[in-house]
Amino acid sequence: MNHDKDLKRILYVEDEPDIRTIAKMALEMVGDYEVMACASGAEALEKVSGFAPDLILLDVMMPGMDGPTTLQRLRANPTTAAIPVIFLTAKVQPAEIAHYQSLGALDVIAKPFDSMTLSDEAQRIWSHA
Amino acid sequence: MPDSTAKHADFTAQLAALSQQYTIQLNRTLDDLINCVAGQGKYISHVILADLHARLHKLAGSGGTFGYPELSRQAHALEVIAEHWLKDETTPPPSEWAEWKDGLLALRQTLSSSTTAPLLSRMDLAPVPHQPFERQARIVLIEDDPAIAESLHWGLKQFGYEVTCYPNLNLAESAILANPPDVLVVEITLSGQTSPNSVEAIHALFAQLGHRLPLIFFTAQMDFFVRLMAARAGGDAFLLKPVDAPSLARHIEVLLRERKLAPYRVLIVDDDEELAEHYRLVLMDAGILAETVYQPLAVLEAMRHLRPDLVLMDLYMPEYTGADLARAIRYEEGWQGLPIIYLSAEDNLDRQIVALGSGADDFLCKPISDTRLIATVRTRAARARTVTELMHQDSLTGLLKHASIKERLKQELERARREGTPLAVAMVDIDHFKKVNDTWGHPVGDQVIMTLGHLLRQHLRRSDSIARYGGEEFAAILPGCSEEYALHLLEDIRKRFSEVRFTHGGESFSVTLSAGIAWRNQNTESSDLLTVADAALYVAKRNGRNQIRLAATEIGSI
Repeated sequence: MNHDKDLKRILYVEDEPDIRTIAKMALEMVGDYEVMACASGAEALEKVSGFAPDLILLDVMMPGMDGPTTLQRLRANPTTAAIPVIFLTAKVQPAEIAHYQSLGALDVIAKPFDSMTLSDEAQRIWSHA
Repeated sequence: MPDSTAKHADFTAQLAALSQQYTIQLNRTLDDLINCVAGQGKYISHVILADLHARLHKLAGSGGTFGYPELSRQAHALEVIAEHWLKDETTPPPSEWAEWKDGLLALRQTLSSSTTAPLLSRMDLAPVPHQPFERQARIVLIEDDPAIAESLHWGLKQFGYEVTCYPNLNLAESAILANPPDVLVVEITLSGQTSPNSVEAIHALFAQLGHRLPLIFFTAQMDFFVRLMAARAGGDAFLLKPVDAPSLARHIEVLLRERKLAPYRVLIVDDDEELAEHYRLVLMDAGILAETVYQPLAVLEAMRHLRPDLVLMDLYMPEYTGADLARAIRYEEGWQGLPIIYLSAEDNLDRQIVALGSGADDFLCKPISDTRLIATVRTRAARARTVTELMHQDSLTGLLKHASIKERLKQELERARREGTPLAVAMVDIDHFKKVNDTWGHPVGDQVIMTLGHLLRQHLRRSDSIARYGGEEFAAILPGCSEEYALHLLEDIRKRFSEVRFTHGGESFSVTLSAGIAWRNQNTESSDLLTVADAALYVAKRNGRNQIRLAATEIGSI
């Protein structure tokens, strides 16, 4: 575990309202995390500094600004550059995971995710980072 | 760890509710997808393919989370092929396209065969109706006249509310803070207090509580200033004394219902797809169900399946203007009262007025702030709902009217058929009602009817529809309910109703009810269902009343 503090605050970025609701609920109620959910990359960029998350969960495919672009923008800003990011996507071929990691993501969580284990998975990836 | 267990149960319950919503939406999504390919011939344009691809992507990414893993997998497979075609910018060969189309049609099959698989949505289709009846709503009543307090206290209890009375707000304060009631009812001009005092005290109370409570004021003073104070305090209703319990109960119920109301539905029509999507996200985030349509031609179709409470429409679109569309919508009788709001960069007031003349209700200038958009949509939609409800409601009981329930039954039956879920219908009738009227008088008879209406509403689910069918006859549609469960429910209501003591002129009496239940089968028509339930009711009456009968199987399942 390389972190000097625990995982507490998660910023969750997803355009689909159904998935956004269930993920927020799962992370809050099962994982006991403090969660802010954003509907777009633009909204995430706007709110990230105020919320100061320990971790960002980022959907890859979103209308407007997609996940990789959002990540790029996060990295370009010194105040948010160091926040670890996990991608969520249905595409989980090893080559694709490697590609996302090369962009700077910690790892990838496969969609559709299981709402009961989402928190554990986020925690596991975070702890191994 | 009882705390974490409770939390877990809470999570499971919320999850089940979400999954249920998702399932309903899923059926629509599949219909849309299938309709979309059904109209395509041997070849498919990339524009449509890109749209299909995006929607399949969403489906693939969400299905498994809501209990449909197989559907997710299949949607993902289709998505990958579509993506391949899109990337290559090739027209799919007809044979591959035909195969792909079949794959899409097969999704419907997968959904209907996964009745048992989705652990959450299907499992909970049963428990949700079975969920215990909502707890009694708690009312705090502030009134300094003991006689009035006493009579309202008793009257509201008849309607199933738990009431606590206090002579003033100071005395009520600690109780309210410790256990906030569902509705606060306040006499605004208490003796020794001016109305500004009361308003201030209420503000202070809500501030301490951290949120406001549904609030009803009543007063003996028909004074504009008092009304103004009430409005300032955020009163949801304002009643003039003397207030009788039934009308107070009705106001309380409206407030309670509002809080549990299904989300507002909004249709956004704008050819600027990104902007429309932005509006959609903003509204969805505020808990409003929004859908977008970019093509004016698709509007009527979208209206039919969404049945929106409100339409947001761009004023200028290629080919059609918003005004044309508004008029086209208004041709349909059912949509004459539907609020239509124009969205446009038009800031010329004259042109705005012309646009409004063609049947829209309001005008919002782009760019509009998110907060203003949400606020406008909420207010307009809320008002539209109230109007619609009033149109369809029986004035005595606040339930649906005869004609409305038939229409509702048709819709529910169609839905049950599509989703393959059960549906039961109950006809309920008060026994020897004429005798009640003759012995105790019509006002008491009305009270008996209202009590039954109220009992039905409290003990059935929100998704059930209840109507006053005739004088003392009620009809209830119970979607998702098997006949056994309907029987169980109605038995419970029968018992509770027979235990209610009505009092009049110092004497008390009780009343019973009979009911008949029918349920749907493959080819059931909605009018048959009511007739069959009525026949079962007749059997119950003939067999001595105060009982519930299931329709004979061979008729019950025509």
